[in-house]
Amino acid sequence: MKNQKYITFLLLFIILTISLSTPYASGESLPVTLIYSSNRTPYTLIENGIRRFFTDKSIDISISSYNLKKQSPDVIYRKIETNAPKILFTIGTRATRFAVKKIKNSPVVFSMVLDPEKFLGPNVSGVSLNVPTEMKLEIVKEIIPQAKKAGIIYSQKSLPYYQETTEACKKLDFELISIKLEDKSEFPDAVNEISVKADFLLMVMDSTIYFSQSIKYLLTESLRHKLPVIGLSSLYTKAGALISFESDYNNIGRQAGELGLMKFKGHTSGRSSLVKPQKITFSLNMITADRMNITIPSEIINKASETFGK
Amino acid sequence: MRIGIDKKFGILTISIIIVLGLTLGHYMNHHQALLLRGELEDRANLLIKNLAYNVEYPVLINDQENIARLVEGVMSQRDVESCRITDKRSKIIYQSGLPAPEGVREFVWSVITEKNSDEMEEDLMFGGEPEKEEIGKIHLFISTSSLDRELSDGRKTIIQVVIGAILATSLLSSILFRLLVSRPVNRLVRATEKIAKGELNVNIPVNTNDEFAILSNSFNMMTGELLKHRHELEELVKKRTEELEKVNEQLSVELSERRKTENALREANKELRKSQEQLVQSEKMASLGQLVAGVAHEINTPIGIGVTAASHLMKTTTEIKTSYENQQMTKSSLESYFSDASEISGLILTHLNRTSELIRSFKMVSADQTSHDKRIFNIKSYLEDIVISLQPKTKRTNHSIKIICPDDIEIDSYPGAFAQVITNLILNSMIHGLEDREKGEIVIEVTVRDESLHISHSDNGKGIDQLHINKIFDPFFTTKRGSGGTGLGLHIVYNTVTHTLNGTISCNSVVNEGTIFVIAIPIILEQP
Repeated sequence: MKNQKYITFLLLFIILTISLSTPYASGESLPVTLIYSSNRTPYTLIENGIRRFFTDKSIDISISSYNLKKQSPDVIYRKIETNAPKILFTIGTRATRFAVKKIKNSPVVFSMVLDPEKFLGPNVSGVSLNVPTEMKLEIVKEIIPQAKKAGIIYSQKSLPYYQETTEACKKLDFELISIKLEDKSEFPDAVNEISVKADFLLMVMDSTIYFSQSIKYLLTESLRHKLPVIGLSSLYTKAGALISFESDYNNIGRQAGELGLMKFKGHTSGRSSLVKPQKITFSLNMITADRMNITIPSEIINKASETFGK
Repeated sequence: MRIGIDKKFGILTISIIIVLGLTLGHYMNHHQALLLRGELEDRANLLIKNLAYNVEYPVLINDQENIARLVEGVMSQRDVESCRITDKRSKIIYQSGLPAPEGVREFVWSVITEKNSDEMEEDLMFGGEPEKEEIGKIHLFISTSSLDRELSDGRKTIIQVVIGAILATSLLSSILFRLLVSRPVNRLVRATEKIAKGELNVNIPVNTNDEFAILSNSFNMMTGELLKHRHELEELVKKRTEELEKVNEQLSVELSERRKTENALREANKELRKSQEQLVQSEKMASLGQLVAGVAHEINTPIGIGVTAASHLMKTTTEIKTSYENQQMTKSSLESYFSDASEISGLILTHLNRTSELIRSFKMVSADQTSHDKRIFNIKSYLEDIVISLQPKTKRTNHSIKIICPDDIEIDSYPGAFAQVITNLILNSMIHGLEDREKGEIVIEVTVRDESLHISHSDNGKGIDQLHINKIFDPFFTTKRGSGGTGLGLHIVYNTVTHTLNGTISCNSVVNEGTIFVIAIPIILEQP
C-alpha cells in the first residue's frame, strides 16, 4: 500500500514535470519569430541550426521570418505585436539593435553579432560570433611553428580585441607587435612596419582600419613582403590571407535555439547570458602558403573547412 | 564651237578621276584623323583610368608621396602636358605641370571608392555590397600638337598622292582614248561627211580587228550598196516622173469634165427641188380640189331634193290658191295642203341644214388649209370638222372613224397644217390600209403628255411591208404608181409635222394587222 502511494506520487510528479518542461510538445506549435538584418548565406545557416535544434528536441515550432532589408521596421514591429512570439531570434547586428529597442515582452536571442556585450539586457541574450584569439593563435602556432612575433594593427574602436590578443599572446608565448592607428592614413606605414617587425599579422574586427581599399593594400603588401595574414573569414583567405577562422554557423544556430528554449522555459528570467561559439572552422590558402614558403601539416589541412589553391 | 567626243570623254574621265581622287583623299584624311584621335583618346583613357584605379587609396588617405609617384609615372608618358588631382570639393590635392592655353585636350575621370554600409563590421567579415563614392577627380591634359603635326603631314602626303594619281590617270586615259577611239571615229566621221556631200566612192582602210574594223567594213559595204541603190533610184525616179506626167494630164481632163458634170447636177438638183415643191403644192391643191368636188357632189343631193320639194310645194300652193279663188276649196283639201306644206318645208329645212353644215365644215377646213395663220383651236371639234369635211369620200365605204379625245384640249398652232396632216392620214388609211377591207376602222386618239399633244392615228388595215416602212415618208414613194398615186401624201405629212408644226412622227405597222402613226407636237407652238 505504501509502495502504491509512492508509485502514484512518482507518476504524478513525472507527468507534472513533462507538462511544465515542454508546454508545446503535445500537438501545439511553439510560435517563434526570426528577424534577419539582411540576406547573407551564413544567416541561412543560423536558421537551419535553430530548426535542427528544435527538431532534435521534438518540439514543433511555427516560424515567422522577417527581413529588415525587405520590410519596414514598423510593419515588422506591428506583426510581432500581433503574433506575440514566445521566442524571438535576431540574426545580425541591425536586427538585434531593432529587437533590443522595440521588444520588451518576449525573450530575445541574438546571433551573428560582432560586438555582443552592448546588446545584453534583461530579456536579451545571445551567442557571440567572435572566435577566441587564443584558439586562433594555437592553430597558427601549429602552421607556423617558427613564428614568435604576432603583429596587430588596431584603433580605439578595436581596443577590446587588442586586449584579448595581448592576453592570448602572453599565454601562448608570442611577442606582440602592436600599432595603434589614430587615422586611417597611417595604415600603409603601419603595414610596412609590421611586415618588418612581426612574423604574421592578426586582423581585428575594425571597420575604421579595414575597408576594401586598405584590405586590398594589406593583402597585396603581405604577399610582397611575405607577411602571413590571419583573416576574418574565408573571403580573406580566398583573397590572399594565409588562414582565416570562423565560427560554425550551423552550430551557432543550435546554440541560439538552446538558449532561446532555456529563456522560454525560465519565463521571468532576468538573468542575461552571452554564449561563446563552441565550434570553430578555418580556411587555408595554399598558394599564399607556397609563396611564403610555409609547409602546412597535412593533419591541419585535413581539418580545414575550405582550402583554396589546391 | 564643236566639242569632239574625245574632248567630251576626256573632260568626263578627268572629272570623274578628280572627284574620285578628291573623295578618296578626303576619306583617307578623315580616316587618318579619326584613327589618330581615337588612338590619342584610347591612350589618354587608359592612362587616366589606370591612374584613377591606382590613386584611389592614396587619395582616400591623402598619401601625397604615393600620389606624386603615380602622377609622375603618368607625366612621363608621351604628350602628357599636365595632370591635376582634385578632391570631391574640387580642391587641388596634387598638380604636376601646367597645361598650355591651346593645343591641349583635357580628359577628366572620377576617382571612385567603395563605401561600406551601416553594417560595416558584418560587411567586413562576410563581404557586402559596397556603395560607390566619388572621392576626387583626375584632370589629364594631353598635348595635341604632335597629333596635329601628324595629321598635317598625312594630309600633305595624301594630297600629293591624289594629285599625282589624277594627273597620271588622266594622261594615260586620254592617250589611250585618242589611240583606240578618237582616231577610228574621226576616220568614220570624215567618210560620212564625204557621203553627205554626195561622194559615195569612199573606202575606209581597215587596219585593226576590233569593233571599229567591223564598223568600217559595214560602212564600206553600206557605201557600195548606197551607190548601187542610187543608180537604181535615179532610173526609177525618171520612169515614175514620166508616168506621173501622163497621169497628171489625164487627171486635168477628168477634173474639168467632173466640174462640168457637177454644175449640171447642181442645176438638175435645183430644178428637181423646184419641181418637187411645185408637185407638193399641186398635190395640196389637188386634194383641196377633190375635197371641193366631193363637197359639191355632196350638197347637190340635198339641194336637188330641196328644189324638187319646193317645186312641189309651189305647185300644190298654186292648186290650192286656184281652188280658193274658184271657191272650190274644201276643208279636206286645205287640211291636205297644210299637211303637205308642213312635210315639204320640213324636208327642205332638213336638207338645207345638212347642206349648211357641210359647207360650214368645208369652209372651215378649206379656209385653214389655204391660210397659214396660227390660232388657238379646240382639237376635238376640229377633228370632227375634218371628219365631216371628208364625208364625201368616207361615206361611200363601210369604214368608220372614231375620235377619242377629251373635249377641252386646245392648242395654239397652225390649224391648216394640222388639218392637212389628219386629212392625209385618213385618206392614206382609206386608200392604202383599208383598201381590201370590207369594214375597217380608223381610230384617232389624242392625249396630252409633257406639254405635248400626242395623236395616234391607227387603222386595222393590211399594214405596211417591212421593206417599205423606212421609205414611206420619202417623196414620190408609192405602191400605187399605176393607179394614180403621187407618193407625196405621207411626205407632205412628214414635212408638215416636222417643219410647220415643229413635232415628230413615227410609224409602226404589222402586216395584216394594221398601221399606227404617232405624232407629237407642242401644245403652244413658238413663233419661228
